[in-house]
Amino acid sequence: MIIIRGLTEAVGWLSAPLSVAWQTAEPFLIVAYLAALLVLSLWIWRQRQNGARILASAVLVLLMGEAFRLIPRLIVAVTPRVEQPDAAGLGGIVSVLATAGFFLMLEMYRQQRYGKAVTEKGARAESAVYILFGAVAAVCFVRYNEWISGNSPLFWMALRSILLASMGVLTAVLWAGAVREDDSLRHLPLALALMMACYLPAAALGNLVPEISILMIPRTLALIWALWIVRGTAVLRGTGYTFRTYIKRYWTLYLLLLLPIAFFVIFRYYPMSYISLAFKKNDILRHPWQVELSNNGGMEWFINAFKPGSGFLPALGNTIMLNLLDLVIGMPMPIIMALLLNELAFPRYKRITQTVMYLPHFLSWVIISGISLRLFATTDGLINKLLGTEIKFMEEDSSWRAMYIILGIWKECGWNTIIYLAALTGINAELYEAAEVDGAGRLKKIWHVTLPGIRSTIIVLLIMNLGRILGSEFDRPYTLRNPQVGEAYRTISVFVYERGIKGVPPEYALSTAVGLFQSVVCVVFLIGANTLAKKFGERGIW
Amino acid sequence: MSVAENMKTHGGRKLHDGMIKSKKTRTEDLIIAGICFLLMLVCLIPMLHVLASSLSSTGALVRNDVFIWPDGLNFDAYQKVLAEPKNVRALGWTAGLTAVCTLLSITLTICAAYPLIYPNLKGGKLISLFFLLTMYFSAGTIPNYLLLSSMGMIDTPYVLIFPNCISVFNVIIMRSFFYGVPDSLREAAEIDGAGPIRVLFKVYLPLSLPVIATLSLFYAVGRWNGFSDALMYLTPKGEAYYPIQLRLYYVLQNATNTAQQAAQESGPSQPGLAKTVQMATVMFATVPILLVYPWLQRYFVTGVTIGAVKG
Repeated sequence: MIIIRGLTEAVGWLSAPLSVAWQTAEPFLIVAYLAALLVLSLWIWRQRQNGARILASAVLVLLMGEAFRLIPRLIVAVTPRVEQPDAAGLGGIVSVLATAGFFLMLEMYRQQRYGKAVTEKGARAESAVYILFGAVAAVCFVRYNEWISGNSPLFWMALRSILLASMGVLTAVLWAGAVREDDSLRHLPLALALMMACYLPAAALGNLVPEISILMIPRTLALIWALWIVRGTAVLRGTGYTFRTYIKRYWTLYLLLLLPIAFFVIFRYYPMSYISLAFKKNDILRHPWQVELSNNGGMEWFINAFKPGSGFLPALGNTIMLNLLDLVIGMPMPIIMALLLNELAFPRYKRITQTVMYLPHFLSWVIISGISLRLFATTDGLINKLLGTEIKFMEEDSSWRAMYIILGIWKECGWNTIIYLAALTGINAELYEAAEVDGAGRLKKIWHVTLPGIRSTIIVLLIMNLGRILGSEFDRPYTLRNPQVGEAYRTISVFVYERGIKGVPPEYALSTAVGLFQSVVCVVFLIGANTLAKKFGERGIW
Repeated sequence: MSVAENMKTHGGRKLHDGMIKSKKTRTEDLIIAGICFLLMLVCLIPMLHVLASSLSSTGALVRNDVFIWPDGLNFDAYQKVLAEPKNVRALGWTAGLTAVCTLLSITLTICAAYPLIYPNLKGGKLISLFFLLTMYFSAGTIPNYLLLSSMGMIDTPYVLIFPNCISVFNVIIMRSFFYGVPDSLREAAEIDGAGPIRVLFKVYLPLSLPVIATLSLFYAVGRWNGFSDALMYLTPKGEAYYPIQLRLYYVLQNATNTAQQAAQESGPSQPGLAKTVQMATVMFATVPILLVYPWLQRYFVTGVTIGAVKG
């Protein structure tokens, strides 16, 4: 008794999150399923087994039927919920005909692959498949189906289902005959039977009891299983390396990849579905796919962001300003330092220098903001004391920007030399010897040998930095800000945080729009810079 | 140093510059060494100053007498930091969190990188692309936040563990290192009947200890230094899970605010103490990094260089 109570409670407790999970997962599953059918069809098409192309076409026909059934569902799932009849419409005809056509072509493939039936009974069954297909087609075009209205009368629906089911059973029986010739087919009748057992109640009673349509999930799984088994017969055997041995040998690799892929799906790709919030009303109680479009055809937030007074334009300006300064002042520094280290003649001393200079990279921006608080305080800071001045280092916009750049250099300059030093090791020592023979001094050698040697590295880094010109770190401006500094710290990332997560009330849609704008511009810039570099004969980053 | 000695040190080795030093260049060398020394000072003095400030007497700090040597050495500030249970808790919690995250991250990174080096892995290229694309285009702050909030993860410790547990960049470094292991070793093991997993444990992992150490360091430092995720995903309701960086951030914020208020209201009551406490907190957040850094630094240059050259 207690167990049953517990079970029902567990089911009740689970059903809400499960249905939410299903609602969000369904569009992805539909897309994955249709894509899988397409890939399967193309793959079979390329096989050289007798009749492979018929099988490929059969899968394609099935794909068409499934698409007509599922794509309306997909559209419903990703658009705002409005009351609309679940009218299959003319898509219904295509769906039914395609299913019948699939069975027909599956049978045609069997005849090609394993030959026609030899017994009289078998021959009768074969012709029965053709007759049933004709019957389904005929029934579909009788006007009593009332496809358009969406309320197909029960009688005609049942008739269609029975005809389709008979086709399915017949096909299964005929394929069962092929098991004698091909042992790999031994599970096929089971798969087909499972599929029909799930499909029939769902199709016949779907309109009366909506819950029963959950059976379409196992039905689809059984269908995939059946297709997978049939797929195997399209492979020309004896050509060495089969898929089975491949999987047997390497399945563990896929097992290893399972968790990382799950991570990327859940935490990197799935959040992308929330990007659509940028075009929707500011409503986060529902998944953005189910929220109505915002004003102006969904562009409301983008338009608002670019209106003066929204606060976004200054943030954009700050971002570009700080990044440009970083590019112009910050980027040459590691190059200079790498050249300096490269010229350092005492190896052990060089290692010590490197160790020390890499260290600031490992300090967080919070720590650095704490350090800068001590160093650059106006009245009692170390620097002002040493200089004997009272400069407001962190408290005015312009000097704050300078400090932002200087602290950035302090933190990352040493670390960024690594990549240049690595490139420097690749320079052929003979070039230096040749330059020396030609009488080149130290500076000449740097200019004519060292710098050209790291040119491609410099360009790659330049591309990446140009691509990031609109990108923005969050920690760096946010931790360095203080109540006195005006606006200079408010980059796009800070804007998004302050208005989105911290906003009162949170302006999620606006912040998402701003974030999307930033990401898209970054990608465009990156591609642009890369193309440009390739035009000038450099390697680029991909 | 004589010319002959110079030859011994530089000549035989494949030096970056491949230069043969002559007597003429020695003053230049000394000047360069001097510049490097100054740069080292620039890197070190701020940290030493903070350390000295945290150990100094409050009076010395107010008088602004501290440079890189503590004035009026005492440990009051450290005692004060440790007397606050929240700080102790944050330190312990962050240490544990860092250990767990590093282990998880490095495991997942190996799982992601190793299969991709098999040239005949079906779908391998597609999966690589699937990983790499996220480096160039990400959903963005708000979508990530909304996802976590719809999963009910806000204010739980999981927001600090899962959302950033794999870095694509580190996967690339790891993969490049695995590529560097000769295929013949793998093939030999496979001929002996070893499956991919056994090859991983017997061949690849033992050879990749430097890169594993490097990436573990990166992940550990990343987690220890992690600030923005905690700031965004933990509200005061999740205060129990504040990591040390967020705690430090609030200590610094509060101190500036209260110091200002005090200055505005009645003049400095004891502003020096607030400052030494700040600096002591900074030291608590920094010291663990300084402790692991020297042990691991001999590894990471190799690791990073491989990633940089081949990635």
